[in-house]
Amino acid sequence: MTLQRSTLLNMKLVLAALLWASPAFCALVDPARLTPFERAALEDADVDPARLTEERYALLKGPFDWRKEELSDAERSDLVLDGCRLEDDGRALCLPDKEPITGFQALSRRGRRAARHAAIERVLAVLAKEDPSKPLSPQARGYVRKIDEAHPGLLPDALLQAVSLPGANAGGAAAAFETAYLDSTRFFDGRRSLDDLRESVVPVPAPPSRGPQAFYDDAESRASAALTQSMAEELNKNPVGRELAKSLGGVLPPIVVLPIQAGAEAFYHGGRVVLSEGSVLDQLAEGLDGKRAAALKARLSKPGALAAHLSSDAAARAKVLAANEGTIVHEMTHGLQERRDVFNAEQDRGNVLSANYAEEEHEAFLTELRYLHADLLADPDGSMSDEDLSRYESLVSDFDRFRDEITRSYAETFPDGAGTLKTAREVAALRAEASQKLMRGGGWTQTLRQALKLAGLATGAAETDAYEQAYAGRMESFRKLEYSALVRQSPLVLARAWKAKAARETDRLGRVHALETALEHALRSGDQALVAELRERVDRGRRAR
Amino acid sequence: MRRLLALGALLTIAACRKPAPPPAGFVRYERERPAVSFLVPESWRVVEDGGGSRLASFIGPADGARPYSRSLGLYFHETGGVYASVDEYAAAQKRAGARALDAKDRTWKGRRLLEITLTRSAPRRLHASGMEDRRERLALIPSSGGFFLLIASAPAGEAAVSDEAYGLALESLVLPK
Repeated sequence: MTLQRSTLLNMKLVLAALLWASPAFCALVDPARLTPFERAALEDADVDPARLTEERYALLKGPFDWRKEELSDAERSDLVLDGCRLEDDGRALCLPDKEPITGFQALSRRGRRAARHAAIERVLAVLAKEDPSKPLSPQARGYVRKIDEAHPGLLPDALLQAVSLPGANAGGAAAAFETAYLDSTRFFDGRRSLDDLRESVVPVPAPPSRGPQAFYDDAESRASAALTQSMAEELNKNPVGRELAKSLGGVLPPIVVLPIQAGAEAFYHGGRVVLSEGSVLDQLAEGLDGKRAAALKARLSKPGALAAHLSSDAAARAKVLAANEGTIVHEMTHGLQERRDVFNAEQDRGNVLSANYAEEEHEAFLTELRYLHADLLADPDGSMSDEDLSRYESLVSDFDRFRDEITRSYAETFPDGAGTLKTAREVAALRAEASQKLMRGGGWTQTLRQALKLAGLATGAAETDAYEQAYAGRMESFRKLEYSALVRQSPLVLARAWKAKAARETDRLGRVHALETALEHALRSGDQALVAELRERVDRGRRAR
Repeated sequence: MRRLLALGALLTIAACRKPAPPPAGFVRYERERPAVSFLVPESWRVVEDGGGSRLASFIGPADGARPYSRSLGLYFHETGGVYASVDEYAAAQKRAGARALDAKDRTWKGRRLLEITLTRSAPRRLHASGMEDRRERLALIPSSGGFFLLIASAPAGEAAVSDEAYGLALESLVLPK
């Protein structure tokens, strides 16, 4: 998956800001005293500068203490991905200068208002499909409820009421959301210069390249370089890996391990493959007894300790790579998409909805499984995780069902961030409609601004079409050129994967079942040596049973 | 009298042709190429086309304890594709992780229907560890130029609700000859 910044939301900090900004609490700050940066930070956080109290103002100007804000996992992850290290004493030391940030700086890093705008837009896309004269469908209600549960406080009460009132009519709810959407669109339009809008209209031949990655310190940089180099060597041993590395121009996205808890063990973000520190610590501690595992985790959980460990310990790096190889291939495929597809650049330019697209996941999972397939064909001792094995079985049993199951699973796992190209088109239609409405009610500048936005949407629509064609071409090419061979070779891959699974099973019955399954696949594969080995192990297991 | 009989016969034919109104919470999904239609839960999201054998997939429910944990899909596998027949498709499922597989061959609306119920292990969430059992119900129907596949999938614990959607979809399914 790729992580959208708008999905990592700050809730409690802003709620606290709102509470502390209550006029009943103490004297209010004269808004004229606020610097432009402070005013913008409050606007980003959707806090009315006219309601800012002196006490809150003093706190926001002082050092930000992440412990006092009781940040959620997602909120902490947001800061970490933004280049901050959260110290035990509560300071957040952030790049580029690693100085403790202030409360105002913390607010400005959040973009709560942008997250709200995105949420309103997605809800409006759902409401647009409803019959305005009828009561709201359970689908629309469910969608709003899901967003509210995932990000409490993000959607204003008035909008929540518009959908939650018994018998609420779809037309009324859509009107409430549309008003909020137009207001919000005006706000963000006001922040974009005409030059910026004009530039976003001009088609780009290729996505812009990222500059060099910034690392927090030398240890993080060294650990990343070592992990990425080792992965490059692994990719080079595998035909699918070589193909991926070549498509990336030989320059792999750096791999970093960060203390993030964003509902995923790994993702692609900001030009990097990010592995979750928690998962990596579990992998490093695997095989150790409880006491030693806990001690290792405690030692490496201190800020910067894991990076230092990984930069100096080749065995630890090998263990991390072995546990994450397929996942890294998956995330590097997202890196390829970012570098290859103008469709991605159009999301960044605001001409296309920014989302986790199921079509991009299809390609990433397919590349990951093709890589593992090649790996296990070449390596009799290769293995797949249970999750990958199940997905591989799904792939070889029906390619199209495999893709649909990813789409479904994505919608279930990330209800407010997942989308398909169809969603992109629905949102593009909404944006165009909003622009036309704003154009009709505005003067020359507004008309010009909205005309530029409409031209940008047309550029985005063309890239959406181009991406869809390229996606279909890639899938058909795989189906025609590779799929039959992959299915034919799958019995050997499955036999080896199930054999490796048997070795992981702690339960004797589970082990025998895995060996029996491996034997069934081995019989179909025609690998007599493997059949003999597995038959003997199955017999032994059955006798013991 | 003969006129009345003729009128009665016409009305009967008209009544036969008009599909019964869908039960509450379901709507009829129709598409032209190929001309197919079947009942689907009203609130489920549709994913149409997408290339290959896919005709339409529906995911839902939109609400409840586990939104989008179930799916219902219709596919058409052309002759000359990966699977030569419904039996080959069924065998492929068995080879690839399907457990507790139960297959029944029967006649459905004058055609052959191979119905399969199976359980398979699948990741509980994307990008995270953890597995769960999912139950699938498949209806494989040979047709001119290939075969249709209607499939419903749900977490094993939700099988009963999923069966209702599958049963209604199959009962209401209209396929070209």
